[in-house]
Amino acid sequence: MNANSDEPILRVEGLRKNFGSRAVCDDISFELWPGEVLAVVGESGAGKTSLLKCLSGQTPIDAGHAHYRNAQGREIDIAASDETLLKRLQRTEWGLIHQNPRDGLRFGVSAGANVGERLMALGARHYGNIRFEATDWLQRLEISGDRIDDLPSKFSGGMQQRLQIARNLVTKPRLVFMDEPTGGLDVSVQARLLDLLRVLVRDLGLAAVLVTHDLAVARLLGDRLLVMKDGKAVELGLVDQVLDDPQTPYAQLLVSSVLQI
Amino acid sequence: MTPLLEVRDLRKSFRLHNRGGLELPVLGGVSLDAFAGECLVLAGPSGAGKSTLLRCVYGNYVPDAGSIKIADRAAKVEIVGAGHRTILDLRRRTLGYVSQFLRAIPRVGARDVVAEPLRRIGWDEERARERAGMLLDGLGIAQKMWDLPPATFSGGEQQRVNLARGFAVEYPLMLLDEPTSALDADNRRRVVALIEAAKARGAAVLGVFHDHDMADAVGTRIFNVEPVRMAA
Repeated sequence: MNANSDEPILRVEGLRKNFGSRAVCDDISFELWPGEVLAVVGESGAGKTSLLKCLSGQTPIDAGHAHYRNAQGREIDIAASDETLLKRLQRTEWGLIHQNPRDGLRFGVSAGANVGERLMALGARHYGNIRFEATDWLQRLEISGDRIDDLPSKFSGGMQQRLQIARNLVTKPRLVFMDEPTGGLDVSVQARLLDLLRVLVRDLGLAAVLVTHDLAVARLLGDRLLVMKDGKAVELGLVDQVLDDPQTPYAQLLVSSVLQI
Repeated sequence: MTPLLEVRDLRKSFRLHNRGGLELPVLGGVSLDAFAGECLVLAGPSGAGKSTLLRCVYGNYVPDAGSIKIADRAAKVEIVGAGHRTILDLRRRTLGYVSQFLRAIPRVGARDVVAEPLRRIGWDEERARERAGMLLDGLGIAQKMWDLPPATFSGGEQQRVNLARGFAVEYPLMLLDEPTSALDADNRRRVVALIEAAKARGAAVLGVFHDHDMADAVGTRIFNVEPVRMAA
């Protein structure tokens, strides 16, 4: 836990995102503390991914605020920040893990370069050190060190996803945004990735916003659950509390529609 | 002596929104105290709300009304209406809960499943795994199984892994929801020893047990959970 653990790392107030005349995120508010994982669930079109894109500076926020408390303890309103600042946060204090590794990796350069690039963006220049750290992170994500010079296209889907995670975590971000990180993977590959994520989140004390449609993934990785429907936050609570004793009609329907969680 | 747990006029019903708003009352005003060193056995017919009571205390169910206060270091913490951080913090250090079923995590070996709650309160890996091994050994799980994920274990073995995990941290307040339903007599005796040790170190234990000999062996007091009378 860092010294700021008694202050939220993210404070979202009345966030709104419009798509044409329709609100895809409507009056979303929550707080996230260091070391916490907030899982965001809901069906397709509920606004989960739009929310994640707003919070991570990938798309403008139309109304409301999202205050990020940076490493120096200063609050930055993501809604009011310019692109340069947001890009810098994305490279340094944040991690961004996309569902499709193609969106988060550079396919023209080697696995090692994909990981090393983020270190270089932070000013690392010593080739030996960068390569050493890249190898270390590949191995933490269970990618053998002798694959460091391979292109990501030579990797399986599960390996590409692990590479994307290594690329994000090498710079020790404080806040990680994950959009369906296990979507599109085989179940056995999913289990491995989930276990790795679970251990990393705990050991690094990361705060994370995790978008998933899979309630079992939410239960495994999340501390809290935000249920979204039609752009609105319909329920927010401890993961086990929302899944075992949902209060609202929609959360009850969502939970009861799953075979077993 | 001040209780470790104070429950006052606790009410809980379930409203089924997708069944026309049907309301199922379960707890109709329960009050009880639990003190250090005792095991309070919750009794009552099936459906009386024994598990619901435990789950409310753990912050897993949301009560409608009433109060649940838990002694935490020098303070008394109210669970009803508490923020999530308060409940998570209590669960880390103060409140243990063992259900009937182990929630297995893919790929994680039994010993690490047991060690995890210790790691969460800051124990280093070696020490946590050492205590985990000791607990598994005490519950008769052979050493050759320690590194295997418990998903493939028998129901009784999983239940013992679950107990080892639940008792890994020495919580001041333990909630037990039929934790021995799949165990034979020998293994139940091992669990009796675990609960007796918890009482001896000053924990308060609140338990639901499906068999009478288990309840008789560990119980110091019985609390009857009365079924709510449905209004006609």
